[in-house]
Amino acid sequence: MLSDRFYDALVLAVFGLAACVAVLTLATLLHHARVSLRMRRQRRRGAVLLPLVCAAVAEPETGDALLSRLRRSDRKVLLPILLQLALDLRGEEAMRVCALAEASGLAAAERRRLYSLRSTVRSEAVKSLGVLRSEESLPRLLHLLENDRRREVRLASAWAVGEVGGRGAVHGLLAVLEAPDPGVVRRIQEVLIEAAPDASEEVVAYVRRTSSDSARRAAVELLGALRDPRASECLLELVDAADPELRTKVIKAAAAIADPRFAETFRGLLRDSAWSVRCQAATGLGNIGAVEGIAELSDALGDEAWWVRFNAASALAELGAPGRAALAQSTIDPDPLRSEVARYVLERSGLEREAA
Amino acid sequence: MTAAVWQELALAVVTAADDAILLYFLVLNSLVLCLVVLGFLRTRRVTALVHTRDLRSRMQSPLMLPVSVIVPAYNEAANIVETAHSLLQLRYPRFEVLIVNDGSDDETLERLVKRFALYPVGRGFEHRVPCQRIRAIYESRRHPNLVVVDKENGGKGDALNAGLNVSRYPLFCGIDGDSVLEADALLRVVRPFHEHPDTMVAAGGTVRIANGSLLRAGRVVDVALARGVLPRIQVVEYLRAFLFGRMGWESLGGLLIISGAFGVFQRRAVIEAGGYATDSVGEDMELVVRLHRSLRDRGQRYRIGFVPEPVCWTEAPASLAVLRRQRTRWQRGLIDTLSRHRQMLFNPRYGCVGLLSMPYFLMFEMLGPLVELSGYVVVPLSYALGILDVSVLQAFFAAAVLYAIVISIVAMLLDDLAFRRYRGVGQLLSLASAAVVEAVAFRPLCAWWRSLAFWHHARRDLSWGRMEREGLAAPALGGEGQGS
Repeated sequence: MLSDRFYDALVLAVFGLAACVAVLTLATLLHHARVSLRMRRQRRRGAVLLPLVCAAVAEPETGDALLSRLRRSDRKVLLPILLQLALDLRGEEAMRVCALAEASGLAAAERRRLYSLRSTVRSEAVKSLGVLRSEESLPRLLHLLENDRRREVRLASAWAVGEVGGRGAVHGLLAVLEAPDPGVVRRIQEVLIEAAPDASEEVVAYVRRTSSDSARRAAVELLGALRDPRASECLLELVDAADPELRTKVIKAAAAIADPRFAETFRGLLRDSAWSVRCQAATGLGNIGAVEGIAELSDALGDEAWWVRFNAASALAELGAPGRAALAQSTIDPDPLRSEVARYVLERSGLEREAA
Repeated sequence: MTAAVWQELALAVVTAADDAILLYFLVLNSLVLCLVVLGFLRTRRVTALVHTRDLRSRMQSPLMLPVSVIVPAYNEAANIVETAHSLLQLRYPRFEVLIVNDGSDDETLERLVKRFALYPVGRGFEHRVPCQRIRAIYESRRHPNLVVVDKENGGKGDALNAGLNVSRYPLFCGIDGDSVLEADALLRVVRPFHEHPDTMVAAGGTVRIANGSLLRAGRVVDVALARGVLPRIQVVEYLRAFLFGRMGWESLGGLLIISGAFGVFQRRAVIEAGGYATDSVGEDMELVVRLHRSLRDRGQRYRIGFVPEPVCWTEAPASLAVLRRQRTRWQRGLIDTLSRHRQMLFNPRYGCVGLLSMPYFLMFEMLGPLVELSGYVVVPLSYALGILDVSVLQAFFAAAVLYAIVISIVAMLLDDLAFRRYRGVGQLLSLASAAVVEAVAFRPLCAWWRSLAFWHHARRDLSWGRMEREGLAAPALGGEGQGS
């Protein structure tokens, strides 16, 4: 039988496996102990270095003294300290931390790691350089954002470029909105919202310039998140776009910006064929405070889509006394769809006032 | 035929069975080892992205998809208030907590009403997926994002379906009433939906065992191991099978299970697939397999992912009786799911799921306990018949046990490399010894319990069994019968 024929191999396997168990257990314990020791050593040495680093950040002229006192083994301790400080500090002090990272050669070492063959190393280096806001790394980070074969690295690069900031970063990020990977596009949107809240002019220019439909949709979505009234003109031009997805995003962005010039448009769009457009139009009327839209909003309470009914009722609740009166009137409407949503929103808005 | 022929035939059968069992264990353990290593490599890649500032910026992003957190609750009066509090503290820009009281006999609803100042609302909803009658929907005067659905008893899948009908947001997260989510778990688990906005339909998070850990205000503040050996064994088991095993399947595109304790789904995709099965005890696995099936049938591009770093803490059974009920239920769920979707087996139309995952689950997860039990019969029988030498018997048993221990310790090492959740050499040694006990004693026991599940399945038993728990934050008793 097989087990007889392979008896010798089986015995060998048993010894091999037993050795594996011993080695792996030892490796696990040693690894754990080694990391614990390293962390403890780093904490101890960090406690010595941290005041020196803080002094160097407060008084840049003491930076050279710090660097001259560094031991060779201190690099591994210094980088986490600088990264943590760069994360915690803002403005001038954060810039001094970054300058210290450049002067100590740590930033340059991280830049070299951007060329590593291992994607995890590249990702780590990208994150570090993002935290250190290394402007020198921007071209390489933009290159990785566009071309790295690993999407993990591309996503990390988008974040790092946003952290570096500046007009170059904004233009670089906008250029990659045409990327075929929707995940990277989403990440760029998030990064731009956080890192460049005043970039709406560049985004508007990009919306007008780009020939890619998906990139235009992403940029319009971005305009809505940035909520800058300077984008209204551009959005008004796109209100009648044939693409229903783009139209929805335009209306959503316009509703978020809440420019009164959209009131007439929103009233008309409450009869749009797409429920998502009607939904956003109702929200927009509420955000603008367009009392002239009360009749259309009251009609929308009978819409077939729940979200349209709910948003219309919420918008009426936002429109002060006349809106609430219309809502109260709808609670006794024979149409259960209207009365139900009107009652629900009145109850909720009452609660929100109480909570406020 | 003469007696000699019969004897020869019997010897041949027993010999072949011996060989088959040896090969079976070799292949099974090697596959599990490959999955664990694959899972680790994938884990290293995806966790390289996570960053505290990154999470902070996501917290403020208006683009984050809103999530409905659905908690089915059946006779959870003891800990439902604590669970609700813990969920309301989650860090996420826009979410609602939707607790579904599945016709509890105890004070689950009353406690919620009293503690959160609930009042009935006329929140409209559509019956998109089947569920028992919804008696009332409540909202809270204190927490605008808390919704409680009171419905007639129908089981966990039915309660989740009710939550699905009432929920409004594009994503929903199903969690168990006795689980505790880490504060940023939702932020992390939703990440794949933003990285693959067009294709991601479901993502699971890691479930870890909280027994022995210190909980404060609905949060695990100090990770430790329980004193009892059973929870420790399950810690090792969860690391191997539920963390790295699932990551391994995810990297192959063949993930079949997202734990009911913690998973996020695209609401529309689940509704289109028909929602949760209300007549299955393995509704979590059944849903994922059905999603694979319906999306493949429609020729839609999709992804079902697993995120290793968001953690849901759960209480593992600490007594043999409760563990037996849990394991037989899991096995019944597996048998039920595989038999419902048997057309997918070995079917190239379903890609990796049909050709790799489902055959693996059939041969090694579903039939595994039977093969293992037959091994415990055939191998000593061979020895008794003189076919097997005692030294071969010993070597065979030692190899099987040692291989299982190797895999468990590899999983522990990889967990320490990737997450370092367990502090101190003492805890790791304790887990290593639990891995030995698991291979020697726990697995045969589990194989026996799981074999019993075939009998229960044949009797169409849909009950969950009584699930006593000691409670993570407070003493808690689970339900009986069709529990949620």
